[in-house]
Formats: sequence, C-alpha cells, structure tokens
Amino acid sequence: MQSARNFCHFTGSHSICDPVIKVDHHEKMGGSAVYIADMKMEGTIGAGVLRSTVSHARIEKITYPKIEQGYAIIDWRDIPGSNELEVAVSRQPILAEDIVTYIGQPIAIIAGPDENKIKEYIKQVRVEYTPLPAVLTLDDATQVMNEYGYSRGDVDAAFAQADQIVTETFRTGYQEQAYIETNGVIAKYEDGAVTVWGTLQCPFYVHGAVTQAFGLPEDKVRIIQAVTGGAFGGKEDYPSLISCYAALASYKTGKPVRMIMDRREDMRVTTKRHPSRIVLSSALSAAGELTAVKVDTTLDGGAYDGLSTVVLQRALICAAGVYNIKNLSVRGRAVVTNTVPTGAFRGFGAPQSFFAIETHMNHLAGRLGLEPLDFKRKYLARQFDPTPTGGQYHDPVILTEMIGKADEFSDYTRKHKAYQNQTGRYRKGIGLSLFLHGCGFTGSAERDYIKSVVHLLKHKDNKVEILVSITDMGQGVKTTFSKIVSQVLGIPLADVVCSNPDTRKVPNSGPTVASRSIQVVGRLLEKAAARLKEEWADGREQLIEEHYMHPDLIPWNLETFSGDAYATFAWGVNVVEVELDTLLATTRVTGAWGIFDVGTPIDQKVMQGQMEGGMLQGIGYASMEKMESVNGAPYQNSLTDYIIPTAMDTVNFHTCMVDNPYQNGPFGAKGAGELTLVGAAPAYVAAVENAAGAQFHQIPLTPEKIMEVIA
Amino acid sequence: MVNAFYPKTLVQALQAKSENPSLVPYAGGTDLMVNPKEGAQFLFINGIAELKEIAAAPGSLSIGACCTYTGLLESKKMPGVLHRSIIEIASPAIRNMGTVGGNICNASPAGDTLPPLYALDARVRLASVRGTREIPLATFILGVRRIDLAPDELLVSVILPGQDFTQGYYKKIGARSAVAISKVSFAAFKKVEGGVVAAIPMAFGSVAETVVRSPEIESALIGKTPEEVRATAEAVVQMYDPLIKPIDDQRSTAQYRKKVCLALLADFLSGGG
Amino acid sequence: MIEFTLNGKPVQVDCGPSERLLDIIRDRLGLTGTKEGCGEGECGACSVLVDGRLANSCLVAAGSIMGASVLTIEGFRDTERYKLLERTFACAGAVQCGFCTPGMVMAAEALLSHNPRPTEEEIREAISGNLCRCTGYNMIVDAILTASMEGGGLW
Repeated sequence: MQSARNFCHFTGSHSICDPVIKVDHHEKMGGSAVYIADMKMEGTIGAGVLRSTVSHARIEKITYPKIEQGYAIIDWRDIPGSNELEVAVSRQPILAEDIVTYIGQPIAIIAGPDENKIKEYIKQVRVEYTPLPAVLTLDDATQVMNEYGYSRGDVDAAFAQADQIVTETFRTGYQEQAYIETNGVIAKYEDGAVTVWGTLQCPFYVHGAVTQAFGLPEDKVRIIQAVTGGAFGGKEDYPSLISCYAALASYKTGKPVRMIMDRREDMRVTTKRHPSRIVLSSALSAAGELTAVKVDTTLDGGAYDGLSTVVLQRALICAAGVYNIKNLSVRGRAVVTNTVPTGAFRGFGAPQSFFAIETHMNHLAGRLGLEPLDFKRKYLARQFDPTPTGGQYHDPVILTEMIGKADEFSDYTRKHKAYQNQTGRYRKGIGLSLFLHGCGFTGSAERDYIKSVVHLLKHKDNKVEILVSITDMGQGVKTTFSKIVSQVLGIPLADVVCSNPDTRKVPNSGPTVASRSIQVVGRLLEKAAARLKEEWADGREQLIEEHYMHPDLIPWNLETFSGDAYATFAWGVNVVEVELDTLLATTRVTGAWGIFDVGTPIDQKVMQGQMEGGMLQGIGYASMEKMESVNGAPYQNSLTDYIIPTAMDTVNFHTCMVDNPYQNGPFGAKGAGELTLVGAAPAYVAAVENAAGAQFHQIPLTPEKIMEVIA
Repeated sequence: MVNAFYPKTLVQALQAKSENPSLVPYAGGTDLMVNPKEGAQFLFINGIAELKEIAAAPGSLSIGACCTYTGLLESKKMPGVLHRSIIEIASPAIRNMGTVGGNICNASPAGDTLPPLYALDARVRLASVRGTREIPLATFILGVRRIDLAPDELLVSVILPGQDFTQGYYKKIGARSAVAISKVSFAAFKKVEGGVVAAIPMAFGSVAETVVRSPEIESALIGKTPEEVRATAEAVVQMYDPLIKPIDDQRSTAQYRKKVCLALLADFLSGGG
Repeated sequence: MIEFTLNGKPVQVDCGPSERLLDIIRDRLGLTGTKEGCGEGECGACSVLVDGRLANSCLVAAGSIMGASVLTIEGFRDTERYKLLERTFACAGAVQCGFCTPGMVMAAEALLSHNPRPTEEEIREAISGNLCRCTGYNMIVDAILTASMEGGGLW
C-alpha cells in the first residue's frame, strides 16, 4: 500500500532497503506490547527514594519516622557488595554515605506495599545537613573531571599573522530526553540471585552494576529488557542505578520490588545533555582565508563524571566540524558542578560542537561578505584528508554531492540571498548546516573493552534466532537485524526471531549506544549468517558465534588524543526554513530538508523515522527546549514546563539518503542513530539569523532570547 | 452519602454544597486531577444539564458553567474572539473535558478564556440555596486563584451582554503551537459608530495577578476616530505600562512579556489584526 | 461503586470516586494498552474515548464517568477501522518505540469518527495533545491521512 505522500528517498538501490512491516508493529499498535509498567507480577511492592534537598552538604543525622511492618528502609550500609556504581571510567555512590553533592542525590530507599505511604514516610524523614560550598554554574566551576587537548599546524603563527581575529562564545543548555516512557524496573532477589526487568539500553551495563553492588558471581545476576518506550541515551547508565535500588529493596524485604519513576522525578534527577560553553577564535588572513581556529570547550558534567569524560572526547574530536583546518588547537574539559549529573543524549557532545562551529563559520562568512556556503566550501574535508586528530578520512566523502541535493530540494542558495532584504513584520529565513558523526565507540574501545560477540542459533525447525545484547528502543533494530540475517540466509523474515535481550541467553554484544548497533553488531550478524549459510544443516540445532574484529586503522591514542577516532563517519546536510514574526520574536518552521550519508539504509522507512525524529529533536533543542538550573535544580521539570514539539509545531520534512556504501558495514550500512539530530540546531539558528539579520550565540534560541537581540 | 457526590440537578448540587461546604465542585477535572488535594471530596457537576445550556436572549448570551470547551467550539453562538481563545487551549482531549466555569474559578493569571471574557464585560451568575446573584467577572476574580465565591455557592453561568463590535483582536503567545500555557495573551474589540470609537475594550492576560483592563484608558479613546486612535497609539501604550506587571517564571521573562504585550496593544491600536 | 461501559460491556468497579480512570483501566481491570507518560494531561499516552470524545484518562475521575461509555485500545483493535489504521501505520512507518501509539490511534479514531476526510492541518490538530519523541509526527500524520483517504465508508 502506498503512503499518501512520499518525502523520503534513497539515491541508491538494494533490495535490503525495501521497507517491511516491523516485526513488533502489531503488538505496539494494539497495546499488547509489554513495557515495564505493564508487567504483572504477584506480590510486588513499591519503593521510593529519599533524595538530598541541598546542593552540597555533609549529612549529620537522619531521623526516620517509625515505619510499619512490611516496610523497610535501605541505605548504603545495606549494600552487600560495593557502594560504587561504575559508569565508563567513572565512579559514583549508589547511595550517599556522608556527603551529598546535588539536589536529588539518592540517600536511602523506602520500600513497602503502599506507594502513598512510602511517599508519606519519605516526607517525614528529617535529614540534618551541614551545608558546604556549592558550585552551581559552569562558569563558577573549578573542579575538572577530565580534560584533553590536541593541535596541529602552527596556530600561534597563524594568529600572529592574522588580519582579523574573531572570537565568539557559544552556549548551549540542558536537553532532556523526554522519552514518553519514564525509567522503571522490577527487581527480584531470591535464593542468592537477582533478576531485573527494565526499560533500558544496555543489559550488560546493568548486569555489571548489580553484580558489583551485591558482590555476586556473574551467573547469579540476570537482566531482561522489557519493551522500551524511547531512550535516546537517557536509559544508557541511569537504569544501572535504579536497578540497584530495586534489587537492594528486594534483598532487604524478600519481595519483588517495582519502581516506575514518576515523570517529574525522572526529569529532575536522571541524566540529560551537557550544557556547554564553547569559545571559538579564528584567524582570517588579509585575503580572507581562514588560517587557524582555536576551540575551547567546557561541558557541565554535574556532580559526577558518569559518561562526561566520553562525551567530552567526542565533543572535542568533532570540534572543527566537517572542515579541514590546517592550524587547529582544541582544548576542553568537563567540570564538576553541584547539579544533576549529565549524561548521554543522542549526539553525545556533537550537537554542542556543531552548533558552535557551524554558527561561527556562518558569522565568519558574514564578516567577509560571503555567503556561508561559499565560505564553507573552501574548507570541506575530502577523502584521504587527515582528520583533526591525525587520523584519516579513509572512505569517500560526498559532501559536495549532498550539498547539491540540499540546494536543489530547498532552493537554499537563492532564498538565503533573497531573504536578506526583507521588510515588514513577518520575515522568512533559511539556514544550512554541514555535519558528521563518528560511527561506533571512540578509538579502540570496541577492540579493547567491548569485544562484541553475537550468536545465531538455528533451531531444529530451521528458525534462526538472533542472540545479541542490543536493545530495540524504537529505532527498529529487531527488524533491521532480522532483515540482515534473513537476506543473507535467503529465508523469510518470519523465520528469524529476535527477542528482547536476556543476559542469561545472549552474549555480550556491547551496549546500544554510539551509533554502533547496525555498523558493528549488524556486521557481525551478517558474517555469522554467511557462515551459517555455508554450514547449514537442515533439522539440526546449530550455534554460530562471531567475534568482533577491529579494522585496520591508525591507532587511537587517548593521551596524545591522536589517530583514527572512529572507523568511519556518517555525514549530513540540513536545511531549515522559518518564518520570524519580528513583532513577537516568535518563529514557525516552514520547511526542513535532511540529506544524509549513512551508507546503505537497511530499511528505508526505519531510516526515514530516524531522520525525521532526529531532526525534530534537533529543532526542539535549538528553539523551545529550555531547561534552566535554578538554585541547583532543574526549573522546567515537567512535560508541562519542558516544551518539546507537538505535531502542530512541525511541517513535512523532505529527506534523502545518498548512496555511499561502507565496505565494513552490513550491506554497506554505517551508523545512523545519532547523526540525524546533530545538524538541525545550527541549521535552525542560521535560518533565524537570516530572517532577523542578526547574530545569535546560544540555544535554546527562545523568543525571549531573540527579542533581546532584535528589539 | 454517595448521592451527595452525584447531583442530577442544580438544586441537588446546591443542597449538597450547602450541607458540605468543603465539597470540591468537579466540572472537567483537568486542573483538579493534576494535583488532587489529599482527601478532597468531589461534587460531580459535569452531568447537570442546566449547567451546560447555552441560551441566547435578547441582548445577552448565557453560557452554562459546565459547558466544555469543545461544546462551545461546536456551538455557533460564541463571539469570534472567544472562539479563538478557546481553540488555542491545550489539546483536543483537554478541550473535551475542560469547562469555561473551571477556567474562571481557577482564576489563574494565565487563564485563556479570561481576557476575552473581561473584554466582553462578562458577568457571572452564582447560586446557592440562599438565592442567586450576578456580578461582573472582573470583581468575581479577586487575585491569583482567589474568587468571590461563598463556600455554599456554585458558579452557574457566564453571561455576555450582547454587543456588536466592528473588529475583534486576539493573540495568545505560548511556547509552542499547542498544549501551551499562555505567556501573554491579549483580547480587544473596537466598536466604530458614526465614524468614531464607541467602545474599545482591551484586556491583557498573564501579565499581572489578574487580567488587566482599564476602563479609564478606554474612555479616553471613546469619541476618537480610528485614525486619531492610531495616532495616539504610543501614548496609550505608555498609559498601560505601569499596569502591566509581569513576572519572570519558568515559562518566560518579565521583560519579554511586557514588550510583546505592549507590542500587541500597539498593533491593535494601529489597525492591525 | 462506579458503573460505566467499557469497550462495549458494562463494568462495576469498587473504587473511590476520585480514583483516576487510567488506574481503573490499567490496575483494576488489567488493560495495560493505555499508558501513563506524565500523569498531568500533557502527553496523551493515556488517551481513551469517553462517550466518543478523546480524553486524557489520567485526568478523569471515576465519579465523573458514571454511566459513560469508555473505549480503550483493547476495545478498538477488533474493529475494521483499527485494522485499516494498523496497515496504514505500518506502511507509513509510524511506530517506533510504540509508547505513544495507542494514544495516537485513539486520537485518530476520535478525529475520523467526527471528521472522516480531514485536512493535514486538522490531523495535526487532532493529535496535538499526543506527544511523540521518536517519529517527528509526520509519518503518523501520513498514516492517518492515508487511512482517511482509503477509509471508504469506514468512518
């Protein structure tokens, strides 16, 4: 059946791209898919978290109310194993011991049969704090979690010889993932073993966390993913924490414990995108050449590192955007503030960097009297160019073709010039952005830490089961993995099974992050399926195991911050068109175009969903998604006050994928999950700048902020 | 006493309220249910037919307090500006349940129907077992979430005096196109008779504790031609300035609110809309 | 005792008058197709039809629906209308994580049963109270528009 309109196409062709009905469509449509809050289990009790109400303090004394039979209080002393949660290279307490470092930090858990009574008890707890000095803003921060720097060429010489030096400071705010399903788990401690069901991205991260918290052998902990209602990075590390709470509560009470987070609590205390301050300084020669760029990036990591060190790495790696800048210096740090720890959100440091570099490049063009695209074209990276960190763009870079398509579909070049001479209250604006996203984990993490393993289990009835730890959170990976396997084996899609991962049944294929699922794990499944095809024996049970093999790259060195940071890159061009009401400083998006190179799309409809969904998240990030920290806590902490776009805030998007198969990806596919968000914000801001005839330096670029400049 | 919660008629409802003044009237529930007060007992008036009537009489329109927003949108009798304010409220699901009476009794500074109702000189009819009384909406709402409603009274209807306006103007500014609490809203009408302004009610929402309307400033414009009004727009804006006292909050800033609200006023006075 | 019609059948629930319809549906009656996303009427994941009108069940008190007719996704999914929507949503790729989907489907039914041939604008408005974070909405709008065009007398 044809859709009413088709605004998405792929310039290549491969039968794998043809859309199929997603394997989980039926149950999600009709409401029978079982999300964690839908799971029915006999005898569960609830649990609530007692949280710090101060930003930084020593806990002197806690006085609990008298609690009834059937209720229990769990604090750090009840933790049988270690009170340390490992997230990447960082540590944070599962439950606070004597110090709290942010409003919302978990101190204790109260568990029992009645949720309202639990809330009552928590209200009645008296915590006596001795306040300690609190750092509440990025600008005031002095404690550094981690810092890196790298450079190439001779930046100082270029600056010394510069005709103009342009320095700008860009700022970005929090972005809240706002998955429609909040965080939640059910945990059961029984006979010295723990089982946790949850809405989560990374079953083995949770497995590691619970194993450590309990000091249990690995086979005594079992993590099972429930159908997951959106995540976007917000369920990458947070579920490890909440799983520990529920498991500890179950351990202490002997009952299964169900913790489904209330929306406001979720928004106040779970991880969100790092706010940033990025200072860009560029040297322009008398001839109008961009001769050098200095980038200085600061990310607000909140109270604990968590994933901040890794977010920082990515933000710095892509600090120079898609440009080949000969003289470049990049430095950055993640800082500690006494606020909610920040974490992963689709893009993972890249959206901040691209907002800054693209907007800065637009401003430089303006300085030189050039159209932004004419200026940017001179510095575009090409295949075989060195990357900023001394790696290489090994694979074809087809930005020029993509820019051509973007221009053809949106009429950007003509409009951008024409819109510069408007009068009247309503003014149109159009903006364009160029961006990339490194696919997979940075450097050699895949080879040295993750060591992804996949299993294909052919049952006796010749149905083939995919056993991986990758979770479907809406991005359709159950469907795309099944397509890869079915296509290689030449068997019907219906004969391929892919269930939500259960750590007891699947090998560790790594976490569902970093745009690695299709490119890395999909590739392993492609190989496994090829091997199964060769060794196929009708009617016999067969297990094929495939291990990750690192491609031949320029080795990544974290200390020197050099080498191939990623195996390959995905690329994007976005154009956004707006209408600005200059009386009220409000905007309306009137058009959006996305041209993407993700290699071969494993399913065109799935990719269309990624492109449209990611772009709207990026537009929201740029325009209306304002979350401020006031007195150390998120001020907009409900879906009423944290504004994400509705169906009336957008228009039909026009998207296009260009054919550029990646030799090491399944059927030529590359990572795509995050790319689609990364470029929309700078394109939106450029559009508003075009309409307003003004320059902006921060997002979210709300009407209030626009008005400050154009009034 | 289960029956006390589900009155079938207004008389029953008033009786119940008189016997139990602490009963909370439940019309649409869209505000009550967001943060239900501990132990609140509801008086369900959402099914009472008398409270859902829309009756046009010579010189006035009476709107039952329990008319849902959707009901009002589907009635052809709503003045255009009121219709426009209702269609921008929240979402279809909220509009299906939420009521104009609830919007009034909530008395939020950001209530969406309030600026048009103030500009239309709306009156409210209140009833109790002791009788009924009718007062201007502008005196019914006393402050933020405070109304002149006795514990045994219920809001029964909103009454709009019949007026023929030449032009209506409405603008709501929210953070997005739907489901947005108003940052600023402005409702105004112009009645031009014999070439001069006969009436020019203007009402501002979300920029003070209650809707801002100034009969004094309006009366200064009566008798002027529309051109004269346009010419004095700046001076009029200055006159409103001290009455517009917005705040900074999670939605917007005082500075922005003041700027746009006066910009909307100027636009209206200059013949915009 | 609260009495109403649920998915065409009379039900009696022994609960307080201020209990949320959402909790009655999910917890007391075990129908978990209707979701809770925010608990304050912003996201629409809890959308059901009450007397044929879209409502946020997280904001509906039990006492306010005495004698009313409530339709949830479980009641709707056996209909021909639903089957068409299931097909058009599949073709349009309109389901990703699926958490907003039952609410979107109920919003689509609420729209089409009152307006069988809506414009794209009207569809956007009809789902304006249903937040989706995954799809960007356009594919959902596409699915509903296609259903309305291929509906052939279903609505």
